[in-house]
Amino acid sequence: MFKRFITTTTTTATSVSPINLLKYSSNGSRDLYAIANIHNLPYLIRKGDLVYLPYKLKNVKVGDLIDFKKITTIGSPNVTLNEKDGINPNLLDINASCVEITKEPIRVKINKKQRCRRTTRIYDEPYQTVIRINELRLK
Amino acid sequence: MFKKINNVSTTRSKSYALKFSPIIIRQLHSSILLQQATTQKKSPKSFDTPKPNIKYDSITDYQSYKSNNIYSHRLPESTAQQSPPLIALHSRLNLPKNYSLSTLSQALNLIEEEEGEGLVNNYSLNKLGTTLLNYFINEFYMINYPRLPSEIHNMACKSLIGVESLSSIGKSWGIEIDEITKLDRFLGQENEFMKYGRLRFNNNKENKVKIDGLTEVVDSRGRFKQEDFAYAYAVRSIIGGLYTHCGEESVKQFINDHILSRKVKLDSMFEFKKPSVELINLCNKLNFKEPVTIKLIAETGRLSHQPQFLAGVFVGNEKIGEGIGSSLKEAQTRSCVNSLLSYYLYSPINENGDQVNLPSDDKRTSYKFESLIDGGDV
Amino acid sequence: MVKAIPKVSIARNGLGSYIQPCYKITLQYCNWGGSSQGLRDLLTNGKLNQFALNNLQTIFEIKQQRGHPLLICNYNNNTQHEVEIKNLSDSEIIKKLDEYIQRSGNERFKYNHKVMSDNDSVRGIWSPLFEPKDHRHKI
Repeated sequence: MFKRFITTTTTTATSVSPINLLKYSSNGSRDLYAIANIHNLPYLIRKGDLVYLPYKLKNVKVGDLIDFKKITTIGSPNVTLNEKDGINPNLLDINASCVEITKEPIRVKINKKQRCRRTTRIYDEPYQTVIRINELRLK
Repeated sequence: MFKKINNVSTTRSKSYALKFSPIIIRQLHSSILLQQATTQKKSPKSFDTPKPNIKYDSITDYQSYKSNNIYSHRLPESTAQQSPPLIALHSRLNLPKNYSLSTLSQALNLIEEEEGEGLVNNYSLNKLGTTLLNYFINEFYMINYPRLPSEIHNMACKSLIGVESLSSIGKSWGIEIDEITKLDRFLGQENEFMKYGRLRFNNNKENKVKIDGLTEVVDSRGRFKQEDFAYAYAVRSIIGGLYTHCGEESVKQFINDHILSRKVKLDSMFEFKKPSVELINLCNKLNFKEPVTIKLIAETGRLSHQPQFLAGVFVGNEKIGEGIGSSLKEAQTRSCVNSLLSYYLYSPINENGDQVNLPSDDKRTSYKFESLIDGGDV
Repeated sequence: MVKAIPKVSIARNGLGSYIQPCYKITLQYCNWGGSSQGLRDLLTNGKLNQFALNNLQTIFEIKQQRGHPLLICNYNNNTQHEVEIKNLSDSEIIKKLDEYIQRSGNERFKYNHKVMSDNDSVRGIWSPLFEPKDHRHKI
């Protein structure tokens, strides 16, 4: 179940290029994941996933397509391709669309100084951006 | 063992290619022409009463279709442009500019021509949309999951283009139901153009008595309301309208974007009564020479309250599936189900390792089923 | 032999196509009250027309009713959000409109994980039983 049987034709193809190995083992980009970096934080994503970002992306409106600059890993059930400085963007097709820009629920922090009956309340309502992975495919 | 499977799948692929040679959608134009020709020839002989001659100025231009009903007419484009919901829906769906607003308004109208104001309803557009949807969705599953049993195939298509999913799509498009009474409209509560952008159907509101805990149902199983059917009709006819204005390419793109993008959990649709018997039958069908055996691969804590067993299904020395369970029997059935699923949910890839082209992708007339036939997990 | 269990497909807005969830906004104003001054300015000076032309996806409905002014936002998941806009100036109301038009109508919540997904795991769920017996961890 975990090991997909590789037929003779695939094994001959794998000797040609390493990206083809990923293609065959991911069943034509159907089972594929990537690790994309957004503001230097890694996010493990598949096609159709929702990514919740606890801030507002700059110059992005709802419905816009977003490209990822740095993708460190692509992986299939058997094979992974790692590159520290980011994989060559010509190898894969990956983008996301901005689905929602909202705010997180309001949270209140009560500050109280010692020996003083007054309390100050700090209200915090940070922005939240939700993006959906629109395409994840090897070219 | 693999060679045998290869043979089986290649024969299958040939049969599919044969199945797909008569493509209905492609020949839609020509079939209309044929029908016209036949009716015109037959009509003087078979019918005594003279039938009105239906003439189309151009087959591709939907605007020029003339209805033989004197009382029905299409909404003028100038009136449709004054309806805010229509313009909003047009831009929300990102429809091309040559998709006219009057067609969009027609797609939302379910009232029969004699009953309402005499506006054309969406009956014909709905028929067209249904055939388009059926064709593209069936094609997708036939090619991408060639080993699906027919029942699962039908259910998968239904989960995408059944009434339930289409009505939820219609609701997500922000289509509203026209619920304002004639009296309110007469009293000037609302602009008269608003209703052309709403879903209009015979709601039978007068007969309805609203009581808490009671809901009106139409379907015999009691699942769908009348409005669900209306929404499904509207969605199908919007797709039909897109075909009449912009052609097959854009309809395919639209269906890909809006309907095939939905998630269908195929693996949770299977219900096996006796998985081990079915697996043996399947292996017999595939002409495996060696018998199917289920072996225990690993186990922990047999005497504890939380035991775990890992069973594997073997044909000779080849392992075709694994399953974990908390009892020996559970592990056994799970391993059988897993190996059956991995056989049925096989999806082919072509020689470059990409997903297989669909017959409608290829512009050439002869479609070749190009795929690297993989043995799958079974 | 195999029986099929009926299932309904799950919508994934933003994959392939994006449809804006906010389809209708009702602007409710009072012709007399001072708290609706900003909204009345907005309606008269043509800023709302400009905003509506930029957001063709939504319908803007104007309603006169006494009391404080309100924005009633209708979303496609059968929810309504009422936003108080009393004593706000016209530019502030435009900001509110811009904020609420980009929401999905779902309840606000803080998501403590990065990615929300309904896909199956690519690598499968790991179990110690998949390891050979000699390499297994022993307590």
